[in-house]
Amino acid sequence: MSELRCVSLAASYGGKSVFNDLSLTVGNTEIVSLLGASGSGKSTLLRIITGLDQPVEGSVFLDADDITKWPAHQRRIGMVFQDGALFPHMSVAENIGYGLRMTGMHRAERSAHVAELLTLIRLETFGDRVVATLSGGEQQRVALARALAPRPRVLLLDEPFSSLDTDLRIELANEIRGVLRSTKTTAVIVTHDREEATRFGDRTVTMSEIAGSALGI
Amino acid sequence: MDQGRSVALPASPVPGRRPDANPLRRAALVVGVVAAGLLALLYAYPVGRVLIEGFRWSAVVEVLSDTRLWGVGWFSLWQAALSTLGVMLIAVPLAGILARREVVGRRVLLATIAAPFTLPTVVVASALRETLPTRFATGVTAIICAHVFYNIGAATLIVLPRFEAVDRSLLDAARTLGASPARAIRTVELPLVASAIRSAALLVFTLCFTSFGVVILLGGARRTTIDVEIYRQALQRLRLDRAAVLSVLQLAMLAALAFAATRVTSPNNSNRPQRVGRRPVDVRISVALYATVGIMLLPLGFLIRRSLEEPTGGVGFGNFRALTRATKGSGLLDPPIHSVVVSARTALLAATLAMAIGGALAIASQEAGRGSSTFRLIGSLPLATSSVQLGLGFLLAFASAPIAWRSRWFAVPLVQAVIAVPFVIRQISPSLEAVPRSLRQAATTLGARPWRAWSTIDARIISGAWGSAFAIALAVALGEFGAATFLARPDAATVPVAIARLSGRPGAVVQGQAAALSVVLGALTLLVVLLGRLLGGRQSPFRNSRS
Repeated sequence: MSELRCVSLAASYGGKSVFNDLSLTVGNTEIVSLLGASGSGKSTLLRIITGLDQPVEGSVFLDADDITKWPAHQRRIGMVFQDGALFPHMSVAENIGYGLRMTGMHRAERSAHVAELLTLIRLETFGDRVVATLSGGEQQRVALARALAPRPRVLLLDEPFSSLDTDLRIELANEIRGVLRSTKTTAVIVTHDREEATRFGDRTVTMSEIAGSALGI
Repeated sequence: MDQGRSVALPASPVPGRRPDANPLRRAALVVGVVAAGLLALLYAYPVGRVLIEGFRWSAVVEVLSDTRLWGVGWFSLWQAALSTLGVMLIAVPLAGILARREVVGRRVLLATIAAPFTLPTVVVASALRETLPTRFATGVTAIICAHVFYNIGAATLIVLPRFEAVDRSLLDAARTLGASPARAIRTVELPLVASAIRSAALLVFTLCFTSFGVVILLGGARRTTIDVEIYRQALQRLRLDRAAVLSVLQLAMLAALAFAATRVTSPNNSNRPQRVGRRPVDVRISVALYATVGIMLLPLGFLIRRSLEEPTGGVGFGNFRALTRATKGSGLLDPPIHSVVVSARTALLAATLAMAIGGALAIASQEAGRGSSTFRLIGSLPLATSSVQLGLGFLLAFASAPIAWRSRWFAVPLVQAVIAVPFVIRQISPSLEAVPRSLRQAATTLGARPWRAWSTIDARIISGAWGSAFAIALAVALGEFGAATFLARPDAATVPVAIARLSGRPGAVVQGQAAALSVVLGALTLLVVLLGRLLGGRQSPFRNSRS
């Protein structure tokens, strides 16, 4: 896995500044929790790191590479979306195998990998299931497996548990943390729940700590 | 002792009767049955006559052994396939861009894209004829260009809501999993909208396959679709039997196509409407889209320019003034302007009758209780046949006493009313359905009788829909060409019929008149459609404005 460094990032949305002079370093295999109120730009930061949005200023480094200008699909930065964002027209196995398909991996090798990942998230028999029939927790586990499949250099999780109820949240958070540990994945998790942040991450940072004033003063 | 006081409350009006046996329901049922009866006479009977004629064995054998007619069928198929391909190649990317980018004046742009589809086919054909260089102005190129021009709007608007319903985070997810933008579209977005693309393509194909006005005006002598051949067999060779056989064959082909389409259409991916959060306006995309749509509308510009060319050279309203003069060899007995009067009268009558029949069926399907959506189904039947086939049906069915109506003045309004009924129902039914039941129940608890509750609540709430339904019926009747060519008397040509006669004749004067008359008809239709939109804008507040 890799080290992620964000240096003096500035972002705007629709002409309005979201944050300024934001810097954040996440060490190799480290899991960092990112706290912040809604609208503080957490999701924007994740989108900039993945390459789905461009920063106004600043750079993003992955180890020694300056990836600021790299297109999203070449960065190998995985993301688990808030509501899972599973492809509704594909089975569970096809969802998990999607990233492997993009790398040009052959079908047989792919299905072996997918089977491994299904075991990892304890949904061994779910490969042929239609995505819509999964519970919320199952969907998020599949989303995690799908994001991990192409071995991302960094994994970003955008409030992955926000749509689940408390009991399941804690259980699933533990489970996913275990998976990230065992796969030695560098990860950033965004949440607005301080308790969850402390429990999940090796270290907790808040948006106000890492960014300069939104007014740029 | 206290009993007297407690029954002073307004009790149920008629004791002992079930509460749902209300007079409104019975009235709706009666009205619906009467309307269905009218359609049986004006639609089912003529079409039935075509079917009976069309299954005469000797005529079937004669048609099937005529190699020229096989050529007609083959041409109908491949020109429709090419036209559909052309439409989808433009409409799908257009809808995709519109769904993901914010555009300045989005509503205006969408209305502009939809405009050509609301124009009469003869106007579209005239416009294309003025646009293409002379050597392409008739023939297969012209036909396909006209079909593409005419159908792009409809296809775009069918596909667009599905594109808008695609969750953007699915595409983001694909990108973070290593898919390039193009590959994300191909593997995620397109599969999710595929069923909408298929149904749009099916509609466009059906319209192009049964195309009549465009092919009559632009096909020349060589290029003939089945509908045009039906017309030629019936009216030029007076072979009604062969025309009927061709009708049956065309119906069979369309039925097979519709059946095949239901077989390959997968169940709808139930993706809910998304489009959350307005994105900032994208100026470059806006400019590009307006430029594209501007190019798409160029034919209309060429048509208007031609109509303003004086026969003697120069620019002016000479062609429009010439509409008041009958020209020798123009194929019309009266000055062309007379057709505008005929069309106005005809369309008003047709729209009124269509409102009566369509409105009755829509209300009956809403109010008459269980299984009553049959009424709506009956009302949409006329969509299954082309207007040429219906015209042929009228010729066959209303030939002898006591219903020898085919050469009476009201034949054209009658047939156009039947054609407009499905459009009326499509306007009114969704609005009626969207009125919450609780409103009328509230009115009932306030003392309104069932009929008054309906007329003061439901009917009032959808008043905008009545208006827009009437406008659409008017527009349909104004532009209707296929049936009118069969039934219009020589002294009572409607505008589309007049345009077709004029543009079939040589001579600068007559051609100028044709262009001017096309502009008049196009403007009239757009005006009516615009009025309908404005009325529809004040539609039921309960109906989704996007639909």
